[in-house]
Amino acid sequence: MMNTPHPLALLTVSAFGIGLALIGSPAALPAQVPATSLGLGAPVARTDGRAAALGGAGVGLLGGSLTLLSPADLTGHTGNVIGLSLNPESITLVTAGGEDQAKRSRIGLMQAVVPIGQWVVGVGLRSELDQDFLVVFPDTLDTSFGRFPFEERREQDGGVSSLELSLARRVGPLTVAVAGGPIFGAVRQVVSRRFEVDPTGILPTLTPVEDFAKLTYASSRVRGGLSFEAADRFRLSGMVGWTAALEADQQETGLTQEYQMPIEVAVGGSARLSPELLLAASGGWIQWSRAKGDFNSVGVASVSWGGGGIEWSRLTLGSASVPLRLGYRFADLPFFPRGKQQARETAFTFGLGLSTAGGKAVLDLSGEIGSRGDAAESGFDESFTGAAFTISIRRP
Amino acid sequence: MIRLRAAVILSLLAGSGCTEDAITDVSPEDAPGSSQPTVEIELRADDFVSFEDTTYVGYAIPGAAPFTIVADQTGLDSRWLGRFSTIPDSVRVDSLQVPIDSFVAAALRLVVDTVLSVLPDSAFADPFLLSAFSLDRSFVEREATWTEASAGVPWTTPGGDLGALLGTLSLDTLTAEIFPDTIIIPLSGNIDSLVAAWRAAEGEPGLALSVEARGVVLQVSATALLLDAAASDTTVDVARSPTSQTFIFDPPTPAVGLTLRLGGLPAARAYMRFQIPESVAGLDLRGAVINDAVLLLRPLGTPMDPFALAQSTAASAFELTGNPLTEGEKVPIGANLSLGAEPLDPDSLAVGVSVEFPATALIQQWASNDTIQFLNVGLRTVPEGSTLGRWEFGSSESLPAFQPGLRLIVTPPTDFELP
Repeated sequence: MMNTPHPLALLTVSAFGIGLALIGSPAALPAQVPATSLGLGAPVARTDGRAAALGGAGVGLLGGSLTLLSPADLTGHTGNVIGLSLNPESITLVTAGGEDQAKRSRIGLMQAVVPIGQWVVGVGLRSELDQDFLVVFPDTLDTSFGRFPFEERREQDGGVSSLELSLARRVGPLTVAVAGGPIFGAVRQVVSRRFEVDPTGILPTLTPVEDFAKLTYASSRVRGGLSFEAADRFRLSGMVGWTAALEADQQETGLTQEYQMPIEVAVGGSARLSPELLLAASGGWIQWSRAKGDFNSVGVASVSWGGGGIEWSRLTLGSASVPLRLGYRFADLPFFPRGKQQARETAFTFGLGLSTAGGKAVLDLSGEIGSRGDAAESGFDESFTGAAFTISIRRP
Repeated sequence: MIRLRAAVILSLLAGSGCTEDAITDVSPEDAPGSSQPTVEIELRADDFVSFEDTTYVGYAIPGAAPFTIVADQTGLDSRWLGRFSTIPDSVRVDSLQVPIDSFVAAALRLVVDTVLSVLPDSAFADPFLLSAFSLDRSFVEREATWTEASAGVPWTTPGGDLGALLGTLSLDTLTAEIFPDTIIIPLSGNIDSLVAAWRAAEGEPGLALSVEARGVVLQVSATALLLDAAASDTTVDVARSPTSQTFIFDPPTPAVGLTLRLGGLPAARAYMRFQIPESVAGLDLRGAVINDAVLLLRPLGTPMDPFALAQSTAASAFELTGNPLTEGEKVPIGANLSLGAEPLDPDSLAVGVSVEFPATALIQQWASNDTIQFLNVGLRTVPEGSTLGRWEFGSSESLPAFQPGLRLIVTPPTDFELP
């Protein structure tokens, strides 16, 4: 239905461009690695486009969010909702030679919410940890009879996800909720080495190397949540979660490993300061330090995260409101190179919402510009621009 | 399995996403992920679990060679022996087949490979006589040697029982620069009677070619009998190739010692059977990617004249389908290890440059199949029997520096680690 780009969409694209220019170019530092290659990978922000634009403040968010970091926020939805969020990301990695860029994308979450009387049921599928990376670099094999330049490619594709069934019950202004489900994942590790063909034909053409392994993960998690809402003006919510040890199984070698998974706590709230202005903030703590003894090559530490933002709903397009959002977020990263310090990820966030068909279809767009790590202290240094495109279909 | 598939599908839906652009500015030392270095390994016979080798001789003989040699050289005397058993009794004249009345002239035509022949640089100081003789004793071309006309039947005089002189050609005014590649030796005497006798006796007992000129070696690539036949008031040219021919030489090719030999006449092949170690210096070869493999043969010193390889030839390696040490020289051969053949260049061999036979596919097969223990490989010159010269190579019983071996480029299996 979109024939021409909306002026606000163009504004968003420009903001991305400006943000990229503002990132600047850090001084050249020793070779780095992407955060997704460390430990169990980089945690994925489990937020939809609206919460992402508000600095990831998806806990206790008035008006409902597909983020559902707290299952008690199910009652923020008054009708049936089904939605999906796509999260592309562009990373600029500081390397020995300067900078290098990579792009990746994922389906961040899929969520369905169904109110049944005083009960609300939710089913969600979401990314938890991203282990994707692809590095390609040249090298040379020196032998007694010649030099063989080659290109090596190391790729890891996959991550850890969760499937969760949640149930919430409204009791007056309070909501009590529980959620639980499996955590699973699969990662395909591939390494290949392709030797150049000697143009003179004197040296033999070496057989390429191609090797791979598949890693699977399995665990389960339960969470409990509690929220309080006052007349659509104020909402406060909290969550406590417990995850069983994550079992990793490498099929080719039969290697297995068990990783203790964190207890996590999250709280957040939002307040409507005026009919057009909403303030939201969330934060939490994830006890990754439980897994400290389970990793050989990386350091592990507990994680604090937080963020907040404002939503301004004055702008309209036809009869529909187009809320504009702005925020800031931070989050520690649980995994870091051994001998280095824990890294922190920070980002400025922004976005807008578009609704059509009388609010039955909603598109929430968000962007973020941020960085994670510091080459000298944490052993890796990435700047990034990310986006979340969340589309949801609602039936009152 | 169902659980695993479900996990993979759901992960594809939710968790994995994909990386679209690669990070390229990463040093090999710091790049994330696992890989194993590709390394070069050289194994000599002593490094194998077992390595046995031998040389078998007789795969091509002078009687089946594509050339013959007539020589009068220090250390090598050689004569051509042949017979013509298809002399006709009629010829076609003006589309009619008419009987031959008589043979009025005869000659032997030799096509000489002037590049491979050894000829003087200046005009011959001594008479250079190339002579054709009748043989007084029949020979068997696959068995004849300088001392025997056939197996167990010695010549009365070593070098062949020469009878009547049939013709002589003096070439004492020629030099290597103007030596013709075609030589005609006219036969004299009663030609009609001589040729008729050959026709009646199917060429028996045959004739011989001998050269008297020290230092001359003629490598002859083709021989023919040229006849002028009188028939129906006209003369018709008739040419016939020998129905059997060989060359005999003295001294005979030396016997093989504790070395490996390629080439020569009778032609020699090197056969070997070896068992590659499963791992070398803690590096697993079994299960590894074999990026390249060559079988190395290390040349010994230049063989004594006249049996040193004089011109470049080639050699190839092939698989043997059985144990050459127990099944002997007739063990069936399998596929070649590579498409091409490797050059045997006497200049390179003389300075000790190893001959490398590609064997990547064979070693890859071994590395990927635990049930294969022994590998059986043969080496031969191609084309076989194309040269009197040969070369000797170190065997498993030679000093380590001269032993045959394998040079491998290997990438061990990747040790994919858990996080």
